[in-house]
Amino acid sequence: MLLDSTTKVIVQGITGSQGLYHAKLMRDYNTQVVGGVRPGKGGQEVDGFPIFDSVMEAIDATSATASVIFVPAKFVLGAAIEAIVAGIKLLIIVTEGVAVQDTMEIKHRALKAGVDLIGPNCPGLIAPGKAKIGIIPTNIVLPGNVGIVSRSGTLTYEVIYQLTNAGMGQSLCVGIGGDPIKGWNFIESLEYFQNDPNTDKIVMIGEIGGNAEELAAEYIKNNVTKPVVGFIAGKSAREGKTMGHAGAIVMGNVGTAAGKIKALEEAGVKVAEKLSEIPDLFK
Amino acid sequence: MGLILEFEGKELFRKYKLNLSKSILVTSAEEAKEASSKLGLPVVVKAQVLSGGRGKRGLIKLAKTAEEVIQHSIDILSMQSDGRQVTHLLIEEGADIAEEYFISMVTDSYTLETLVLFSIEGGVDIENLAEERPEMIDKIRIPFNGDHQPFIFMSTLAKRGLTGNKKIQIARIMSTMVTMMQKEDITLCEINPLVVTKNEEVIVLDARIIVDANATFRHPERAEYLSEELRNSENEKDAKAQDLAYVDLGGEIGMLSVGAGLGMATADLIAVFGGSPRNFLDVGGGAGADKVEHALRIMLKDAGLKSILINAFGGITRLDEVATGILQARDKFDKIKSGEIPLVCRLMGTNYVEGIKILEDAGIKAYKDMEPAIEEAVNAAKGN
Repeated sequence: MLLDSTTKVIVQGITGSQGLYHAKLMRDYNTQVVGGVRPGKGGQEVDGFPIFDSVMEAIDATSATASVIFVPAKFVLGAAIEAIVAGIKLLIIVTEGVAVQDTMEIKHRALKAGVDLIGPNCPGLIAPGKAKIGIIPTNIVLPGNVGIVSRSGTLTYEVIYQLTNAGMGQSLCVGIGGDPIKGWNFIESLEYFQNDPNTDKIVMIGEIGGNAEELAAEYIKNNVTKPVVGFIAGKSAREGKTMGHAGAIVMGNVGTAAGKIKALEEAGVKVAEKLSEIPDLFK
Repeated sequence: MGLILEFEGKELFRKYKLNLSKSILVTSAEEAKEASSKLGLPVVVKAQVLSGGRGKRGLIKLAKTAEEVIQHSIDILSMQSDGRQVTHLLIEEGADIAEEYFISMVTDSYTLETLVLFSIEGGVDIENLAEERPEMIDKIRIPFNGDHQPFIFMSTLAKRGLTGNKKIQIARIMSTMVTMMQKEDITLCEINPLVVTKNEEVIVLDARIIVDANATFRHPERAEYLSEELRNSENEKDAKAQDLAYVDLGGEIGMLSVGAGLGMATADLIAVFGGSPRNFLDVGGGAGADKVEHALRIMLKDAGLKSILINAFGGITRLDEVATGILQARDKFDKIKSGEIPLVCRLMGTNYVEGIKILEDAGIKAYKDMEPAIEEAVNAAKGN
């Protein structure tokens, strides 16, 4: 299980306003937020959260296995390396605007150390009724058996809300984030849902640009037996600025909404035109 | 992601000691003539603009005499590119070209490899070449933090018939470019063409580089780049100063949203209901009331705006803050206050109950669901 009510979580950047605000919301949702890290403020306490100078000390004292990072973008690389070296197994980076090279370094290290990395620039995870790490609003979720994975934060919320309104609860919602380079992508999320006994159905929310949806479609075709419903944002977008020659050559004719929808449909995924159609497509 | 101008890219190449022709940046025909007398004729007059295809558009011209330098400079400086007047020219020594090559590299976002593309048929439209004769493009994958010394590239170059000093120099350039990708936070690094002169000298003739906008903290000088100035319209600059994103979409409905994904989905639904977005203001995660007010202020600057749609789903954003920002804007901006431009709101997520109450207490209707709100905004834009 990636995340449940026994998962012990620390917050890196807990003394910042967003870090503390969301640490409290996570705790309010009965997540075991066992402390926070802020170098120089070790030994203090903020709103009942013990503060540590380093991730390693936090783990020594609390046995935390998960960490969520809220520090400013230019400090994310240092914070993430610290978490990985200290032995954190599930690392969520909420911060947006992290430099590509920094994300590459973090991802490279996470892969080597066997750390499940989510983000950066992502809303994180919520296992409805159990726990949440990140910033997904709790008032829209409902426990159930639908796994949701999405590239966009606010679209994730929108889809959760639509499903909840239709009475379809969620097993785990994963916001993988909008950056081109990220930890978990669709494939890792789909693999998790396929193997997760609590998940019977999967919703996948993609958007124009890149080729993650096309790769996911290929993966679904070969590996996923649970029903998948998809949605692609950006259908009405005009052709944007090109990525440059190399990008176009590497990717070929991919990245458009039409291409992604076609790839998903060929993999047996039902693709919704409007978000509100998603619940009905499982019937 | 920011494409930088040729002369800015060449400065980066110079820092890494790649061989370039001498060049001088100028802003007038007078300066161009002076530059050409320093460099010696012939020279090439090159407009410094962000769009490609400069040769075809008459934005690059060879000048063999001082008169031609002046004439070409006057001509190009009177032209437009990307909706703006050309303001800067690069005056560059002419090169005696014998052969033209192509080198380009990007990062594979899935494997983290640097993908190096090379072709002995440079100087042409590489996208066409890739489609018509893909076998003419070599691909070399360099693992993250992997070896990328010149020897890595030599066998590929040798198979294309390159030998001797020419092969060694090109392998060195490729190796240096991979280093630059990492050290300079570059996401696309391209030379087309890389030329070999009749004297077997290898020269970098163009530079097409995209730098990572999120890495400016490591390269603070980039905030002052001319490309940064050219990239952004007045509204984009205004939005950026407030830490907002602005996109000009040309239709009639102003969209304010939290996050690009929801913004795109909102635009899609506007299209489904038969409308079209005028602009998109993304206030991003965690926006406070003042940011929302600024977003609406910028939105109102665009002509042709017929209605405003606020579609906010709050995760890190608190919707009581969004609602307060909407009220601040209504009280300050007559077009909203007078009802000239109708405002449709939809709030859901963190603190939405408080947000909706703030709006309703002030007489503004707010939806919980996005589809009816979008439909109403489309109808309002049509005057229904």
